[in-house]
Amino acid sequence: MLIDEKGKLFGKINLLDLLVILILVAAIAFGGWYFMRGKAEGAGKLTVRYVVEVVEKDPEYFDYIIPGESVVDGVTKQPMGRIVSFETKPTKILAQNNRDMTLVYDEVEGKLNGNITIEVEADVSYPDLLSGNEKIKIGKDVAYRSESAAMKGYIIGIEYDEEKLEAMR
Amino acid sequence: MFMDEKGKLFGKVSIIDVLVVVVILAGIVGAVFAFGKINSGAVLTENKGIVRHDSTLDTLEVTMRLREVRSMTKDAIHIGDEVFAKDTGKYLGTVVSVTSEPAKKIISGFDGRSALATVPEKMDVLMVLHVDGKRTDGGFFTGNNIHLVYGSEMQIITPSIQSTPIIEQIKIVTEE
Repeated sequence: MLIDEKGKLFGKINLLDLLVILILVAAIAFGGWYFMRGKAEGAGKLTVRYVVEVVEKDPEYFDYIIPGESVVDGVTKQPMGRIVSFETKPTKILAQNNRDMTLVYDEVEGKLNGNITIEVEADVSYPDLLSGNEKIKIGKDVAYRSESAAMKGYIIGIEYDEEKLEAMR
Repeated sequence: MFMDEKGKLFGKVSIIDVLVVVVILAGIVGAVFAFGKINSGAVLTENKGIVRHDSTLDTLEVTMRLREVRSMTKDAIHIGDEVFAKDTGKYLGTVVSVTSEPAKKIISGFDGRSALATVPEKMDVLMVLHVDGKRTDGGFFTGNNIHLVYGSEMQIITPSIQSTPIIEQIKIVTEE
């Protein structure tokens, strides 16, 4: 008989226990689906090159920016890619000309700004490009470290294959 | 018999057990229903003006000023870009116009003079969004209940940039 006189399915499983288990399994499955769907939507990898600007560094600092070294976020330790290249230019700061009341850039002797290009295989989760959980956006302030140097600055440029990104959306 | 002398339905299942299952199922259904209401914006979890999910929405034109940014920021904003609130990830609106003007800063000299000086190599970017929203008794709100306040800073992201512009103008373009 399907349900016996003790309320057990096939005489084995208590009907109430079975219903509670089914409800719990359904709830866990729904929760898993709900929280994982954000990662599934627009998922894919894209090669991204982005530029981090560091400012007011001593020239010796750039001896420690070594192409090929891996980069991680200094706080979260998320991998952020590998250094591809860097270029430097003299540091200029905004100064006030009191004679004609204008703002001008003045070069700071002995200091350099650097643009460090980093390449990463980013995850695409529209509208974001992600390395791990870290977003890659122009204007984002970052504190990264490579194997040899710490770099604190702003992301000032991003490059990727736009057609490939559009196809992934 | 419907219920036997031991309180079991059809002599099989305890009525108490059935009631427990009904209560659990009712709780789950209620939670799903309430979650759906919150998700659709019909109910807010905070005490603010509400745009109900069944409201007809107007098109708001929102002008945001990104102050003293460089050309790479302006170049990364395109008409058609979708804009999202950075903290919640909620959709805000779509860019319909991007213009720029020289960035200016008030400076004061040692002789007591002041001037509005142009900041070299920097610009203010004026980004105009079209936003589905409404003016309520509590102010302007988007369709998903983001409060838009004139003069406030708002952290936003687009597919390429993140920034904290100031809301400079809000007006209703089309009314439903």
